[in-house]
Amino acid sequence: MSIEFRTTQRSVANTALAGLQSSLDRFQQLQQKLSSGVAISRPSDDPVGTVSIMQVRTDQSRADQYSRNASDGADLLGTADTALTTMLDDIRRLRVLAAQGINGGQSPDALSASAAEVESIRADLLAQANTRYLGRPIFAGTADVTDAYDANGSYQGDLGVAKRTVGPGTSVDVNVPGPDVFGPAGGDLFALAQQIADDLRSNQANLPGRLDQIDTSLQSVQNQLATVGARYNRVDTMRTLNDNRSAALGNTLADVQGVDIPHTIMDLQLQQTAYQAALGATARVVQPTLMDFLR
Amino acid sequence: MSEFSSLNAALTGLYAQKRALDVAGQNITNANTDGYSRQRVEMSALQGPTVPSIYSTWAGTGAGVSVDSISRLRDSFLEQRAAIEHGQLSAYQTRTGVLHQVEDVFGEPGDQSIQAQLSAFWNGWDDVANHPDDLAARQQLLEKSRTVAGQFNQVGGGLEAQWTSLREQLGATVENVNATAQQVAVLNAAIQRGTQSGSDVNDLADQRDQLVQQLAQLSGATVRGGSDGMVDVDLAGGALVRGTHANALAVSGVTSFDAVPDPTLGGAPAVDVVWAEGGYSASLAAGTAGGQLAAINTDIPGYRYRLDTLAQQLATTVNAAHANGFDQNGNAGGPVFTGTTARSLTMALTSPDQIAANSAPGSLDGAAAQTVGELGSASDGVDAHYRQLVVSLGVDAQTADRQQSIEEAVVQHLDASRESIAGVNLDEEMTNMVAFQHAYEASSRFLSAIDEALDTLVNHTGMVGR
Repeated sequence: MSIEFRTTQRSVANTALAGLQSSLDRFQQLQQKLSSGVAISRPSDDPVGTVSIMQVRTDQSRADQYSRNASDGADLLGTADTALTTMLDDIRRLRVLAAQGINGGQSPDALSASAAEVESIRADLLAQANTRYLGRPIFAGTADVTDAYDANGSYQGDLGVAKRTVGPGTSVDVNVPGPDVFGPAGGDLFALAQQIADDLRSNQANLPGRLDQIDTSLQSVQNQLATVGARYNRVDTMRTLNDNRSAALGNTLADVQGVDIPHTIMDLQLQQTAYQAALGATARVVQPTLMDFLR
Repeated sequence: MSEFSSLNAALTGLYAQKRALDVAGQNITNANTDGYSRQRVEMSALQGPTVPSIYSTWAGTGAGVSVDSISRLRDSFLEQRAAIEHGQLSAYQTRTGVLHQVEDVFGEPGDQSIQAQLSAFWNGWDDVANHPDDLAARQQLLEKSRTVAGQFNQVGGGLEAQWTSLREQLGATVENVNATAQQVAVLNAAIQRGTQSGSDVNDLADQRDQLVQQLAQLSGATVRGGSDGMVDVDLAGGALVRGTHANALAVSGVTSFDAVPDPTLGGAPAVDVVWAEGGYSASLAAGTAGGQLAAINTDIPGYRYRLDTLAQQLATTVNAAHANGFDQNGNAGGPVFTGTTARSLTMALTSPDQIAANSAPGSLDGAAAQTVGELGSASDGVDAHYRQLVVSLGVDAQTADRQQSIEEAVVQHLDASRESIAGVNLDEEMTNMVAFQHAYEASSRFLSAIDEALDTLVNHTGMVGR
């Protein structure tokens, strides 16, 4: 015996209603996607996609922070670079003045004028060594002081190294403590300059020895300048890397989270057609009964 | 057979066709009534005496038609299955609703969610590490720490509010079950009396069956036929309705969210629906109440304990790293967060100079802050665990969605089958009406034919030659 499946007006109406409802529901979902611009608005829409979005957002935020750290480090190193370059010129001038003192034949007035210039160069060197970045002396290590060297040329800072985190588990040194550049306390560049000024005035015989000392200082500053330049390159590269990574992650985020607009609009169009077809079919099926034909 | 018995036969025809027309009318008027089952007049031909006795003869024709009963077309096995599937669907619907609300509480993936606040928090430490003496960076970090703790509080509080509201809803559901079961028992009694006295109980039975389906949706109850047209309603083996008697349910267990144990530890459920008499568990697994119980005992506490663990981990790891640093006053870093649950997580620092950013007193190297800032990138850190929590929430909700849509399809087919048997087809009723109307007309024509024949016999016979 075959089971006869009776169809009733009510079941037709129910089926039509259920069909229209689900069609309208899909219509609304597409519309919501288009108007919000995001394909995933809650974890159950796509659990894996949700976690990708969260991961990518975190990574992007971190990459932006690394870039900011690198940028800050680059600024600091750039400041150090400028200060050291200026100081190199000063040290070369110091050497010229000392060499002139050795040659002899200079009047005491000229020597005393040279000595005065050396002292002003020393003051300038000290000023450069106290260069600040955002209110802090860059050659003072990590010490909490206002100046790296005081007026007498004695070092106030420590030998601490400041670092900037520029990648996961990667950090770069972004400062050079004063003694590393200018020589150890007592035997540093500023003491040397003062000695040269004194020698120019009263003891020119010491000057040839001072020339060697100047060369050592010059070498030390040049070395540190090279180090600073190399580190600057490194943080600058890391900044670019992190910026690129952030942009790439932004694209990934748009891919995972964003709505494929042409595709969605096509879907919407199809859904609209389906919805209209369902409406038309329902209008035709639900209306007639036997009553229309019995007379 | 006498002429007069033919008159009677015609009369039975008129009665029967009239009755059938009435039933067709009842069917048509109830074509859109919820729970109505179509009815049919069961007719049978009235036969002559089947056991002929001495001196009696029988010409062989019947004596008309009799209306035996008006049957209610309904498949009781389909009804039983419908009760089971509707109960299951209600449970899924309840659970899906709860999980979607939990998703709303977490608000992922979003700009204001825990994940976003954690990212900002870790970045804040880097800003302090870059400039340990910058009061603005420190102030900002304090604000970000407060926001992270606040976000944990909010999500934890949201889960608690949801749990409390569900606990109340469960009470309302159980009260509804008790009232409905009582009504079913009362209707059972009316049906029993009606059946015993032989009156029409079809509409009462329709009403009762609709209530039984409601019970199934509320509690996952199942139904089976009883005596005298009554039904028994069972709940996981226990008797919810036995004939004319209904047993009441009650909610037992804890009333505060804090008292709910971690569901992963096993053990007895914190909240249960029990029989009011005796107090032993009704073992509800389906229906709205079953879904609510699962959410109350398993889903919401599960997310809560995982979130609490994360809050603890955040406090422990940040505090430990912070303790290695030294603050602006040269003191070792104190705890950044206190509290052991998501709801009680509190930022403990009171002033920006308490942030221990440096590795030694008096130093400004920012090394300690850098260490804290990198905690967020750890592969087993709070962020990674939090993402795992969100992915399992997403999978749970998605699975519930799918289970629900599968069950919806099952229920839809089942309801179509029920409608196919019990529903009213207007075309069919119209056709029946035409048939019954014609039969009625023919019966009355038969009556007139006999009448005319009798008239001829009585008034015009024996008048020959008058």
